[in-house]
Amino acid sequence: MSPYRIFRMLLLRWHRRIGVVAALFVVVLVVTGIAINHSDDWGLDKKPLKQAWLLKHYGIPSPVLRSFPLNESLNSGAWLSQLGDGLYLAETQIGSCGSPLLGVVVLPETIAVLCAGRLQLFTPAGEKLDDISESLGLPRGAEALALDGEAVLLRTPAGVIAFDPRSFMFSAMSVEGVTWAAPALAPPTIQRSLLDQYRGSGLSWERLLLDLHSGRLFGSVGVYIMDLAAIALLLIALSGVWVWLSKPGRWKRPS
Amino acid sequence: MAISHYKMPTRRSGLMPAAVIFGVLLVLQCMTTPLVQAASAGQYLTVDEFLDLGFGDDAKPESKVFWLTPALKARIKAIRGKDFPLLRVRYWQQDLRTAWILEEIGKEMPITIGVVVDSGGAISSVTQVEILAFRESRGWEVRHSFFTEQFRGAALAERDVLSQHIDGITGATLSVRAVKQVALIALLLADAVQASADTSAAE
Repeated sequence: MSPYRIFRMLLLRWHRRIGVVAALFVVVLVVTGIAINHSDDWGLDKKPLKQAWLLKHYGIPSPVLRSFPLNESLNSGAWLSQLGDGLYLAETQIGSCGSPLLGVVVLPETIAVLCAGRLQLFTPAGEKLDDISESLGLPRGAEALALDGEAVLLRTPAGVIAFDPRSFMFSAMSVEGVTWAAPALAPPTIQRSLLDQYRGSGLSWERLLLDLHSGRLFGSVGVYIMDLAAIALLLIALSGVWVWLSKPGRWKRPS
Repeated sequence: MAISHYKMPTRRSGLMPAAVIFGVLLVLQCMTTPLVQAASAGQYLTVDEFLDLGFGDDAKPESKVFWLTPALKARIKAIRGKDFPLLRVRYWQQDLRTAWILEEIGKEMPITIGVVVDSGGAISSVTQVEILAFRESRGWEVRHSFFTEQFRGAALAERDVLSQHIDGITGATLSVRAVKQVALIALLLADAVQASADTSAAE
């Protein structure tokens, strides 16, 4: 057997072997490639990823939801919650708070929201009226809120301090038996809606497909594997063309 | 014989003194940096201290609230480049002098800035700017009087800009911008308060 023929047979054997190995990658590349091409049409660029394990893989932790009921009925929609840095009135984001939510009380026409180092006042519709930081007079270390008539009570390391939202005055007072606002578990519908909103601002399915297509989903190793798969496809194409061209008798003219 | 007593001159490297000086400077840098940072970011003035500076120790300025109109919010938005987050602003007033304490983001954290405006003249002008609190690691130089003194006498010019040039500070561009924005907003608000008072008086 001539060396040329041996080389051709060897090429054919490796063409098949590489083809089998590359088949899996071809499926992944074809499926993700078509989906990426049509991500606008199919809404994949706006559809959020909700799978906790995938979000965890991307380093997005599940946020802590902290909610306070705005009235006695715990099943009503009147809840004020914090998820990540966002403050939500029911299911609508009304502001932000970079520190933990510590208490919420409802005054006539005003909702007082205490985060660590910050007291914010909102209208019942969720528009922000005031934002009082410790630099603007909020007593240091305020850690809980309660309502006493039309005054807001703040629990601080130095004792109870009353805040008059009309005069913006803080004054120490001695009271006992105060019922401080306590967090509670918001209804599942609100929890789901807020988590969906939070995740919606994070990752889309299009991002996942792009990372799967490029191999980045599996880190730098995945990128190299996809590079090898691309080279394998190139070798299959070249070897296939060579085998086809070098088929014995291909270029013989019919006599 | 002379040769046996001859000592080869040792070749002194110029690198050694340089290395010693560099080491000393490095140690000094490490020792002083935390002190500089501790002295830079933080709370410089309380609200009461600022009001004492703005109105005098014996003054008792009245605490008031000004509700923003949509037109005013639009002008403030044009200055800030984004919406003003509050529906109303608290201020202090004594006669024709008002004090405003506003927070504006420098780079990432809010800077608490106090501005005193005197509306006694033909036009309102700034009499005092103070930084009450600074929370970032860079740009705290805006607290110094060499910078804040530049605002004295500044008024609102056409197109809502300051009537006088304010020199910037290298490395504190965003903080300088925040202080200038707050000074402009305080002037706008003081004018609005004055206009509101004039309207009430006319009625």
